[in-house]
Amino acid sequence: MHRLDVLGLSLRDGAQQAGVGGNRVISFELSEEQTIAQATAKSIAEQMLRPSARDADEAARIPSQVREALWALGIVHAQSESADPVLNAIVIEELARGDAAFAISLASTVAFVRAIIDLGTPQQQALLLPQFTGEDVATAAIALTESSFGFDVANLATTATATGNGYTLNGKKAFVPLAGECSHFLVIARDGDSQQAFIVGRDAPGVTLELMNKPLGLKALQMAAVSFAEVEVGAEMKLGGPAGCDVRRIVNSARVGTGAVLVGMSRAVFEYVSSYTKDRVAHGTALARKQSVAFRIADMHIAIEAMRWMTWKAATVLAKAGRDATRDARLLQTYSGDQALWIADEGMQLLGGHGYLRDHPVELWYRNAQTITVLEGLAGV
Amino acid sequence: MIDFDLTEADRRIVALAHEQAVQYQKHGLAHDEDRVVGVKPAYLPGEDELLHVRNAARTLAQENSGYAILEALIYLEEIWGLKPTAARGRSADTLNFGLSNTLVEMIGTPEQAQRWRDTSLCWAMTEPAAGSDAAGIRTTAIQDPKTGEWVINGEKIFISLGESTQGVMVMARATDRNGVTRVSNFIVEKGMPGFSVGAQHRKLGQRCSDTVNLIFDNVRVPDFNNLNGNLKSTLAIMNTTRSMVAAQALGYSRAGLDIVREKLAEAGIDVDYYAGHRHQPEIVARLIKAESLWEAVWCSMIRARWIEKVQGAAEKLEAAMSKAIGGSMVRKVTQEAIALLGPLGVLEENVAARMFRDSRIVDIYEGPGEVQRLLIARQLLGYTSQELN
Repeated sequence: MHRLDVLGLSLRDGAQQAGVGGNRVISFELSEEQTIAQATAKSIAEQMLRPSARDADEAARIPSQVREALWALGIVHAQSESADPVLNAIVIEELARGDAAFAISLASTVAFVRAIIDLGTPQQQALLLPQFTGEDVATAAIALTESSFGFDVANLATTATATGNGYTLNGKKAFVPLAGECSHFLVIARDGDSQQAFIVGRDAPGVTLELMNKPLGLKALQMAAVSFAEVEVGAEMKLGGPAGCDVRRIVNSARVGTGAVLVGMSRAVFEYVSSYTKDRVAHGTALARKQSVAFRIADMHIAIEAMRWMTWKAATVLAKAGRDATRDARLLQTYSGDQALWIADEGMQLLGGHGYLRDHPVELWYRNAQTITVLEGLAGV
Repeated sequence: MIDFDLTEADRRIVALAHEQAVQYQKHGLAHDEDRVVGVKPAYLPGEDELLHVRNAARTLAQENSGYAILEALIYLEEIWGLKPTAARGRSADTLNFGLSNTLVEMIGTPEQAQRWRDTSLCWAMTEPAAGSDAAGIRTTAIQDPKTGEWVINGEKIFISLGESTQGVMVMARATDRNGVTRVSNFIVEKGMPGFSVGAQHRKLGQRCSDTVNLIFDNVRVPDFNNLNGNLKSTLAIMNTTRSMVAAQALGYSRAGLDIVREKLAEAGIDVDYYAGHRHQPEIVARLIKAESLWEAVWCSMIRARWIEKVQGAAEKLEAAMSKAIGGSMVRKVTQEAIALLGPLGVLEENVAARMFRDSRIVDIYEGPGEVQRLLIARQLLGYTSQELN
């Protein structure tokens, strides 16, 4: 008892310290700002994104009015003023419920801007950020994924070699969202024993783009392979300055952003399937009234909720100074990837033959789920 | 503001619970088959000390993440440590024993609550032909029109703490002196003629817990022992226990995962969360996958408990969800822990084997995963129990 009494006293001290620090307790409560952002994103997703998604996929491009409407949300602009990865995740989820490719078209630029803010030098911020606060749509992306067999974030083939006054980049990145419209790429490359990020203009000598016109999913995103052949990058364009930065933060942010996309897209599947199976009658009763169907719908919802909380949790860790979100982000990536693919797959199954037709969006979600879960660096928070 | 970090004080409370749990775990492996019902294991601290952690959490709950959340986190640690489920003071435990006394308070009169406040009670609902479907109950209680007494007949099965408690709150199909029949509850105390306790069940796991059948053969109880409150609404209390079972799932599975992590560290294998699964040894990729399931359940459980905290009562949907995902996860992860440990994992001296056995009940009791999914699907799809069953 004495041991516990002593600890009891210190418990009290701890509680008071926590109290002074404000309302930092476990909570799922959205701030007013987050609630407003969520509602706005939900509205644009329902009114514009979902109705445009099928045509955009068939045409393999995003309509300019969609790009403009997404830009007008002001999420990219807001990044310099406040860092709220949770708000970003909430917005991305809502947008992805409309369409994942559209959501990523914005979230890939968020990823770039956040990396500049979180890890860039004041000079890099002053140079780049003003380009992302205007009225006209601005685009940039992380160039991380490579299409070679064995690709892994921990095993990059792209290299940065130190020269006298900068670096030379060599390698080929792939699946870079809207690469043709990007003003800049943030290229993650192997720099000796470490990984570093380099800001490279799209028009820099040695940079060539090759549209990947037949991806399985995310067709509207106009993803491209971007080659870097002896590309000279000034030392001042190494993210974070001469000492560089911890690029894991960029990857973590991307895993959280991608998690948010998968939550939103899975919600779309869940809602569509719930409604379809309630209408569709087989052997005298609605499909949804059969346990084998109802249970899968229940499991979809359980997984979607868990994915969301894991996304938020990892996002809160990203938001805190001095914290490493690597584990949270990786666990989220693993869980959300497995579950989102399972949900899209079951969604297809529960629609039967109709799910296989392009008249319904489920086949699009199925292709998107499989595509998103193998790519890294698509979105950021 | 959205946050998932424990406060400093939350952390200290969990650390205290963990410290106790480490002591339990040292003895817990031996305390499996050698249980003597009703005898408190010598290594279990006194009730004051058992209560200390919960009391500290209660005292500090207002300033921290709340007792609803802390209680689950404490329970998680206790399960991790194989805390034995011997009968204890009513506040020392979360499930079973505390539950039936709470139910008496909720559906009994103040006089009834007073009468049995210090009597340890188990709760008997399940029957050979009625598990989660309480409508199938066959135990009867017929009121004697002359004396007003009730005569109870029937059998209850899988009753936790049935031998070591002083009495039972039993659910029966009751027909009163006017011939009106409904489901009602009665307190039956040990020693009442016709009330007997069956032999201890021999179980896959949870071997040190007291699980028996109860037999009621013309047991006469006074009318005062009939609890007449609305049990259906009272059973909302189950929503609280369901998320606690999710915490239980987390405790068992973390014990298994802890050993895997410990063995990997001993073998010098780094668990690198940055690398993807194509750039990792399979054992690491599989561990990370298992951890991701664990994390999903932790989030679901915390969500259910947080709702309970802010609403002052548990929410049926979230409670069922946390139980369902917890039940699925603990099966998979305790199996996976053994798969990753290999032959070492199937030795009973290893806690992973014990967790594999003990935890298998989690997806079965307090409403099996299938029943949780029925509840969840009905709510999501807007169906009644007649429309989806």
